[in-house]
Amino acid sequence: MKYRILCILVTVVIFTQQSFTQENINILDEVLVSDTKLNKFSEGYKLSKLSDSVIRQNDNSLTGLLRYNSTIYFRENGIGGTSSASFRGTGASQTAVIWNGININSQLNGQTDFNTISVNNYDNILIRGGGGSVQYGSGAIGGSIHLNNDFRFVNHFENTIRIAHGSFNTNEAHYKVKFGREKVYSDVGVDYLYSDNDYKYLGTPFRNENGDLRKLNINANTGVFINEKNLLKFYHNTFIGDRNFSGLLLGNSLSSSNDKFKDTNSRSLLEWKNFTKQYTSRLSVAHLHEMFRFFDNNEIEEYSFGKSNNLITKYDFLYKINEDIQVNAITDYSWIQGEGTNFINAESRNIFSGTLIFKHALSKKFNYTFNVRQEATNVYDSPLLFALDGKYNVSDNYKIKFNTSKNYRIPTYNDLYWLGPGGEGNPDLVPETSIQGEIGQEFSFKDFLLSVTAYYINTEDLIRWIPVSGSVWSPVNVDEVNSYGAEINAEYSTSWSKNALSFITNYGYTKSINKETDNQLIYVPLHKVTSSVSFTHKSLSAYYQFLYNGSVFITTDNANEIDGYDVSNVGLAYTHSSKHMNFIIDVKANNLFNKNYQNVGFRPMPNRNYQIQLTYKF
Amino acid sequence: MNFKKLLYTGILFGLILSSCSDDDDSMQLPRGEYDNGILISHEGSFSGVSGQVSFVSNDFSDTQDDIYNTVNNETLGIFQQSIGFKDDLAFIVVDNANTITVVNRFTFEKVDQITTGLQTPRYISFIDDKGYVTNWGDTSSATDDFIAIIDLSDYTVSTTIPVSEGPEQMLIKDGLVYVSHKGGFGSNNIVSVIDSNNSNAVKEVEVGDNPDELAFDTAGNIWVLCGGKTDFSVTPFAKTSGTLVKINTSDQTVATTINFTGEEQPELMAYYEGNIYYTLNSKVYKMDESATTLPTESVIDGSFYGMSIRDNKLYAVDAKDFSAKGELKIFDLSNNQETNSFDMGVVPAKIYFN
Repeated sequence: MKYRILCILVTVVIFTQQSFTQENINILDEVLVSDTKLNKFSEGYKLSKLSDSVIRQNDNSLTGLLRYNSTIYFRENGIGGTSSASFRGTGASQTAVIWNGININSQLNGQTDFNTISVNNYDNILIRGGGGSVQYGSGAIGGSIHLNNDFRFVNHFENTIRIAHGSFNTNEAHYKVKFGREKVYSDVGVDYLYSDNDYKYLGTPFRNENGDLRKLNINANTGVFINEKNLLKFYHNTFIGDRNFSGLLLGNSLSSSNDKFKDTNSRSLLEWKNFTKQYTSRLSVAHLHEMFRFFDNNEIEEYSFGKSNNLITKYDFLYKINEDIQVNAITDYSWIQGEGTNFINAESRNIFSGTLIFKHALSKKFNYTFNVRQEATNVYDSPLLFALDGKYNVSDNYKIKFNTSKNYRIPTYNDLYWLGPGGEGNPDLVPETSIQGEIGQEFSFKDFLLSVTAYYINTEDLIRWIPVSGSVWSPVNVDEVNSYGAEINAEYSTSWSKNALSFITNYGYTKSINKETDNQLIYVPLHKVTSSVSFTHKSLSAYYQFLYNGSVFITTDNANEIDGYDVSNVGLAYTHSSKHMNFIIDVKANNLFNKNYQNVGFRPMPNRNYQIQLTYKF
Repeated sequence: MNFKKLLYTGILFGLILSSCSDDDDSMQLPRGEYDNGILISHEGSFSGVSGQVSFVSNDFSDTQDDIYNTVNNETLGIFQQSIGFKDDLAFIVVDNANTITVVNRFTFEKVDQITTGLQTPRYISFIDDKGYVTNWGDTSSATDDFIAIIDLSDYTVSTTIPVSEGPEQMLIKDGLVYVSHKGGFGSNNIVSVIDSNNSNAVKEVEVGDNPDELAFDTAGNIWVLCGGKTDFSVTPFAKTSGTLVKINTSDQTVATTINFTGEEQPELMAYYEGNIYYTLNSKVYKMDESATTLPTESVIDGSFYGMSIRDNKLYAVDAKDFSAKGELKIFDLSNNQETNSFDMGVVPAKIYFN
């Protein structure tokens, strides 16, 4: 019981950001300005892009999207509750979420709650496997998720309205307007979701009580060409969440909860880009704000809170020495201030970093990139980080990619400054560091794509909260973990006359072993499979989606586990496009076979449920 | 002793000494698979491991995990806080589930379950046909804590008594219920005395900070181990030292106070044959009940989460990292040496002799 407080501390997920990162746009790709820098400097990494049609198939949270379309495993505290990722066997704070080039993991707990990211608001979402701390900052150990907004400098004016209604009184509305001219682009998107979320706990008389949630997401982006060589861009995103957290199913009884969690995250980024064919110079300023309030009793206006502000200024200079060699220098300064009910003597952080990237195409077939980064800060000792990656095009059908890097995860405000019943932060922590490597192969043959990636990650000085005396837990740099495994991705797509067929499957095999005990980490499944098949005939399309999540250990001695499960979803879509009207009607059934399963202990997942969605474009 | 002989002797003594045979377990038939053994209550873990009860036979030849689940094919959830015993029944208290599950203490077959009227229940004690259950109420509220009185004829909460914050363990003497107030997630420094003969009137006795464990001494007075409190609002945490307090049960006043010093915070206490055993900083200390100062030398080393004593043996559980198997260790108090150890489940916490 005494560690319930601590569990709240550990599970309550908050949001915000980190600094340094870079990625963006490079020389204009005709009229579409998007994130080409990510592609340019990640050639030796596995990059997967999630397409629009895939994004539409799942519910609007990033958890739902990635759970069914990647090898990333999620610990979701019931649908809509807090949700953290485990990528390649790493911990919740070792996957970085990158918003338009900026790391937005929380300063308070180092994680991103994947249920606070609305996928409707982004033009493309990419998964980058492997270490990326040099370019993307703290936490990019397992990999990083990139949320990007594109700018289209062409005459257009588009409106999209999407409304959806589903089981458990789940209602969603989404509106996005995009406006473009030759030198101006603007978009605004609003996303609102409300759900009673009171699904049945199969095999019991109970429902998911106190699980209702409301989420509002607002996105706004604007770009202006001042002249041919200068572009100004502004990005903004605000998330406001008001969620009740449901109780636990304990044996044959329901532990009622009246917890409530309110959180707000807002992110703004202003960027000035000056470029020629020879160089690109970018100066950016970003502000990231996160704030959460946790109510032990949703009927009483008493809460504990945490918040942080992060101000980032960054200068990025990319120079093309010749057709084959590019160098990129980046300096970055972050000022971070955190405060909260349970933070005592929390210092503000000043983090200064310098990064150098050198990319060299040795031949048409082979290129490599070397990155190095050093930072200086007042809070902890920071290691020198590096990355080396390369890609070798053996033939048109066969590519080999490899990378090796040193990465880190900095101690969070919780780790350093928490003071509250049951826990005491440790200001002497050092960053977790990893040395890792991977090798990947990609085969393509006509309509068929296959990629096989093997990786190894050694992480040292992992921060773990342990009991230091009878009633007080404290974090220490105690564990060393070896994670290794393989990811296999196969895709097939073809079309004939008015038909199209596509098939995608991902398989992840993940070992994540505590070096001292030789045991697998808790909540890391050995196997995970996702598959989807979709078939389109004229304006009708149908899909079937399948997830197998292997069993996970829930004790550090691997004596107890939660069973594996499989879930199937199906959907049908009708697309109407004409000169005057474009709309799509989607009908979906999730958990088709009404499987009773748990993803996190004591928290049953939803029974079979339905959704109907209308997307209207004009 | 073979079974036939036991049976025969049992019947014989049963016939001859029918009125006083109750006190002599060795002469009785085992009343179920879990008679004549040690029950270890486990809290379970937030990560998804339910609380449970393990059984170790008195001769240590048999150990079984999760006996409630084995018999009844269901789990009870977290955190399994304590077990109370009354006649042939055991009452398993699970705080987050807000339940008390009634089982036959020897067979562990489920008899009933109390699912309403409890909120964060902690311990249960008994007077006649009533069970007294300490409840923290809503853990975020300091003012809704209560004692629930269970009617044992139908296992329902018949009435509640509001009390000060964080009621924890209980001892009963002369119709009075002595309740230590550890303070829940906060802090408190009283022992409530509830008079069951007088409409459950409540009287408060001030003791040290965060009183938890209670034990009768030879004279029938009550020793209270107060752990001391931690002020989490300052850094480094401000702690108060623990205290050992003796309450005179004839007039419900504090008879003796022995202070720990240097912010020392003791955790567990057990009483055995004129001595008080307590744990402090991963050591077990032994103090004569007539002593006025604390011992300086420890008798046993070990980081324990629960401790009980019987037949000159100290039984202690180690919860290890609270997320893997724990361990039960048995020490011979004649030489303080460890004699046996057994693997336990996740977060073993309380030891009872059945």
